[in-house]
Amino acid sequence: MKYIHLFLISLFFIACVSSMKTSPTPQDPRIARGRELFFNESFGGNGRTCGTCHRTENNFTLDPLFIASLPNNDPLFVAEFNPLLKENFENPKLMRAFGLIMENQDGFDDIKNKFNMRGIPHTLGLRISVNNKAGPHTGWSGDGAPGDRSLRSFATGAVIQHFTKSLNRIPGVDFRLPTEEELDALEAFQLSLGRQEELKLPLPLTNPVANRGQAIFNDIKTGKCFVCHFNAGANASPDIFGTEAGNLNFNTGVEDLPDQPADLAGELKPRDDGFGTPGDGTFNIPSLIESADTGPFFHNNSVETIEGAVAFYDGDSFNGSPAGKFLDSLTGGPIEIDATQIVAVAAFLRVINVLENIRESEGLLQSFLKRTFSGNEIFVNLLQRAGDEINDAIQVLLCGGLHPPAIDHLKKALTFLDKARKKRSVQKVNTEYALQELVLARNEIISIK
Amino acid sequence: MKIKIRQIKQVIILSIFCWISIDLSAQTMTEIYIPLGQSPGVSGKYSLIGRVESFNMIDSSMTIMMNAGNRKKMVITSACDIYLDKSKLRLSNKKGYCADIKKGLLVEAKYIDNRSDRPIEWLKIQIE
Repeated sequence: MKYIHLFLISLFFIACVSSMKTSPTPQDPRIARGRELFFNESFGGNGRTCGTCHRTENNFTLDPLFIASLPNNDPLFVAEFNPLLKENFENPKLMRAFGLIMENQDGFDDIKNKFNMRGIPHTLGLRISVNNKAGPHTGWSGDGAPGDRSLRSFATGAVIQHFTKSLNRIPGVDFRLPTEEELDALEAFQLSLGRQEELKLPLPLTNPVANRGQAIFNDIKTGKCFVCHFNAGANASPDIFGTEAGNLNFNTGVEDLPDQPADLAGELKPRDDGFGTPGDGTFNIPSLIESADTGPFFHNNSVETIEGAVAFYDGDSFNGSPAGKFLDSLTGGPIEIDATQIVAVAAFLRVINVLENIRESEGLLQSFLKRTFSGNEIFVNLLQRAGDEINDAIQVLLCGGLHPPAIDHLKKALTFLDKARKKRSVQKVNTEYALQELVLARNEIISIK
Repeated sequence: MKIKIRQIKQVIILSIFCWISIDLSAQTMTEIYIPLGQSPGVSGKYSLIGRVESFNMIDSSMTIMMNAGNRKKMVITSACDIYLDKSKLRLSNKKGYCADIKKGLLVEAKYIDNRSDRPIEWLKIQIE
């Protein structure tokens, strides 16, 4: 009898130690705290959180398709059910049809007539996309944050703009401002999302169309894309603009595009003057690596497809813009690319987006297996998040008619993840199988020497 | 020769572009609603808080007395944004004017580029 007691006590002790060993731990507690705030803290406002617009399951942004899947009482639609925010806070028609959000970058003194309608930029890869030698560039025009204008201060401006209970915007009444500790945590969380380093182009791509697209992208005579999107990121070419140029602003003429979808809707949409008050017409360079699965494109969601976004640079609006003229004088001519070349550049952008999806999902699955997640996702959601990334990769390839064998591997990875989620006893082995399929998918896209 | 002229032209255009990109001050649209002393990354680091000791309308210079007893003279240009912080009264903050600068009022001032040799970028006046 004595031995049975001893045996049971030992068993209990071993179980405790074993459970302590396997408890997942976020690497930086500020990231987990920031995640909690980002998705759950409404700062005493109208019910919105940062995650209302920057949804994890939709690449930290929103598009009309995703918006259509939300219930009518979602805080995103607060202007539709809160009488105090019914006018001059959002335009529900433009929000639902085009994913556009109302912003008052030029001040709050005439909000009926002075506002901008902008898309929601994703919050991926911020660590390497908001730095400029003159200071941080946040938001679509690089001037999204009050205070010191840093990413850390961005949340304060967002609370005032988007979280308020009424248009009086009185701190302590309509919302509360984030504390210093909360700003630190929110910044840590946002910096942990997505890529932490730049790509290094050129990549050994196996698809001849995507490979040609990459060559055009990096060619000073044809695509010239690398001048502003060095290594397909958000920073300008250091060879042209200097090593510390970082993220720059340009007037690329997007506002001059004819027949913009939101204009055709017949709603008031003033011309967006970009950076500064009054604005100088410039917007900052977005990263392209995450672009194929985060459309619609440009600050006003004016172009639906990645092919259309590439084609923009061959059009009159861009080539007649200050940025287009600058590129013309720098490189000896405007951007002239034909349909096949436009599709090729888009194919390249699709492929690098998929490689990023694979990298991200591998990271999430490795974190799940090693139980060392970074804290920017709830541990039990890691498999789901990885699945979302894989789904995106499949869609991005499918819509471009690219890499059918890779799609097959990605679908198999999804099947294994589904099994892993459903049955705990086979979770580890199926997660490992999913990882193997991801490696095979990548090997279809990049040649391994 | 042609190539040289072309290169010079490119450098000039590039310089103008870089200047445009970095020298304009970013907008501070939501700053108006941030109460005195709470501007993130600015208050407690790069701004000065004190009570107005004097304001000279003629040369637009203001002297404030800070907590430590130090006086600081600063210039308010027409480009300076003046905000009336009414948050203590639970009222909406408003844009202000030089005429709102009155002796004894608590103010927070931020210099352009955080450099004390530059004019004031924004001034918050607390209304109680």
